[in-house]
Amino acid sequence: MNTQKTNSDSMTYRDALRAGIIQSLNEDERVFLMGEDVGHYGGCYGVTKGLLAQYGDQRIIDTPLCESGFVGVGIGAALGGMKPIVEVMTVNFSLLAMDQIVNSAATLRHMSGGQFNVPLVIRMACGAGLQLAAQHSHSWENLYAHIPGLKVLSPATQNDARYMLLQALQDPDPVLIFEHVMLLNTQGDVLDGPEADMEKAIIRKQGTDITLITYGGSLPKVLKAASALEVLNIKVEVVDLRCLRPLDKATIIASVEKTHRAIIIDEGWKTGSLAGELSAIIMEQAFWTLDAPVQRICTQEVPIPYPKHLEHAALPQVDQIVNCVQRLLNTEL
Amino acid sequence: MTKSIDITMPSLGSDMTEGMLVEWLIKVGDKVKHGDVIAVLETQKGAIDMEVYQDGTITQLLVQPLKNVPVGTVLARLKESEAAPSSLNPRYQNPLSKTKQHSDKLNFDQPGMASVEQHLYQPQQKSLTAVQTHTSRHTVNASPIARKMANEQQLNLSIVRGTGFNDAVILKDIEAFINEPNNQGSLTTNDDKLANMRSAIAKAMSQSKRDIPHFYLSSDITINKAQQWLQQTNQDKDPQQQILLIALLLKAIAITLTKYPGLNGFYHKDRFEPVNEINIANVISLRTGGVVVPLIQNVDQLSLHQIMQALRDMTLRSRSLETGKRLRSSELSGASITITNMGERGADRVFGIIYPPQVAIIGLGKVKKVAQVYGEKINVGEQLTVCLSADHRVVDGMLAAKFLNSLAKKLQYPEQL
Repeated sequence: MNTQKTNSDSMTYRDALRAGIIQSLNEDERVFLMGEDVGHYGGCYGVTKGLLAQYGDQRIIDTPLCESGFVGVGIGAALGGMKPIVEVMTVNFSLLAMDQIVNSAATLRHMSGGQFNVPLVIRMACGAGLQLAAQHSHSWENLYAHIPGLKVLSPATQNDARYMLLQALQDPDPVLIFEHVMLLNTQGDVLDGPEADMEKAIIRKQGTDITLITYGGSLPKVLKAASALEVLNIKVEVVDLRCLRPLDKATIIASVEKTHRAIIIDEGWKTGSLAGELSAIIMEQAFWTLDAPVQRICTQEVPIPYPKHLEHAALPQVDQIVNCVQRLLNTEL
Repeated sequence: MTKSIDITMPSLGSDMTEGMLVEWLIKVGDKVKHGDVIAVLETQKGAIDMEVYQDGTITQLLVQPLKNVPVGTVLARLKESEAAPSSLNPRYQNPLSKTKQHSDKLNFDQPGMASVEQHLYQPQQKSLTAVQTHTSRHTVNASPIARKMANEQQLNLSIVRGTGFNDAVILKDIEAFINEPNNQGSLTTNDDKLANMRSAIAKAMSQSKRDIPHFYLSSDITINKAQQWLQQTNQDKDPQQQILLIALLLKAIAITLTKYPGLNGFYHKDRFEPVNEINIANVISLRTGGVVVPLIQNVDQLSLHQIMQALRDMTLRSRSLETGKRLRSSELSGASITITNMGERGADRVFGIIYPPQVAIIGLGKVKKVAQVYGEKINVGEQLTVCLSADHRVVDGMLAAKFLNSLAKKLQYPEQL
């Protein structure tokens, strides 16, 4: 899997994102970036710092606070032959642009009988953990993963942060990229290129006892839980979905057929969740290989709380994952 | 006052001395209705769905699954529903009703059958105390893959200790169980099942040949008209709607039997008891080897279509492994006469051995084209040899011959069947 590891550099997820943007601006002059505070301020999360000075205001465009407006402009530019990268500050604000994304971007190829495609990439920050309270902390990936016509990416590693944007820009259709805020400062290896196509799930850790399926901001928690369980001689397999639409069902099913058990860790709410969809897929395609009921670890069904201890309690955590695995394997002490 | 009723291990044939309760499908407090399947039994004849014959509420489950218990052992108790006056005094039930109990004690058999069982095998009452432990768990928790594996291994899940989530039986438990040398005996292989069935057949047939003075008559019956009639009737019909000769034969036999009640009943305690219903058992060969002998009730009152349906349904269910789709306990007991059809397998004739406590068995041979002499002419026609084996303690040759003669006549008027 990590064939290029010999040439790896260590960098933060934030720097990897920026490196990806720089490469795409350099490689294709049709590419430009726009969004709130992406220019002079350097991006709300510092991802686009310095880019305005380097590329000028024709390619790094600060927009007014109007998600519906500038996402719509992005769609128009894509229709006109450009390759826009639109940054929506957080997924929470993308709800204001939902009409543009769902009713226009996702449908135009279909509505035009294949005459017009929308090669648009929308990046947005997502997730909780920074005490930004309910209106800035939610996980709406599930809403977008529901919609035909969109592709939804969730880079969870520095390498995916580095290369998924480039892969997304190659796609003829609208692609949404979710960048979890808790990953921005994490450090990790970046290789010479992507480890797999953007629509492929990757097994981040091989194991035989149980499959933990996750994506985005929950991946580090799951890997931590897997290490803790390894000490107890429980061999966990970790599937990083990477792409939430379309789902790489083959990888998921192959893993469950091997381990006979699955837990889905999803920072969205359980009700109507992506975790529910994954569970149903496993039930439909791997029922007779299951040795235990599929479990879901999701965020508590409350708006994400502001106080640190409550925010922590609301989100899936490492000990919860460890306990759930032990309960399912009936190895609790 | 509501009455407490004992539900006992039924006898599903004179060859059955004990049975294993595999699984309760009800729990204490459940309301049940006459005809509900309440348990799965494993007998020498394979898994059978056990029905209840009374409306009421289950008050006690006395036997744990996976115990072999003698026929007659009380398995559970039931409190009768007050709103069921017909079952309060079963003595006054319609004789054609399917309910078979004839006393306050619930039996699962025809009166005669049950008495024979008790007479022959003396179910040991002391075993009642040995098995009076309550069970709260009426289904086995097992993971899908464990169930699949157990099914492949013909392993009864409820004897495997579960160590999985919610103490479910999981794949690892099945593997451990199979690999444990001490458990080899618990793995019922198809060979074992076959051996059990073989020994059950051996027991019943030996008893029959030992105790019953058989005599045999046969008659070649011309079926030209029956075959012509069937051809006409079937010509515009889908294969599913067609009537086969066997249905015609069954109907003719059933109607003839109503006039010869001496062949339709039970012999026990040195006495013959005729049975009012014509409940004909059919020998069905299983693909895995061995036979089952499920019955069709009141054949004389069924249309040819109903008989065809019953035959198809019964053959399918004889081979089913699914709860609710298997043969039911009531279908394996209480037949008043048996038919064995070896003609399908190419035999010219078969002289069957009577299945006690019945007193007759009718063997059907294959349909053959033969030269038939009418006056001075020879005609090519079709005929079939019907053999009657009868119990000489009950019937004499004269009656048996008349029966065959009468049956032959019935078959000349197929349109009346």
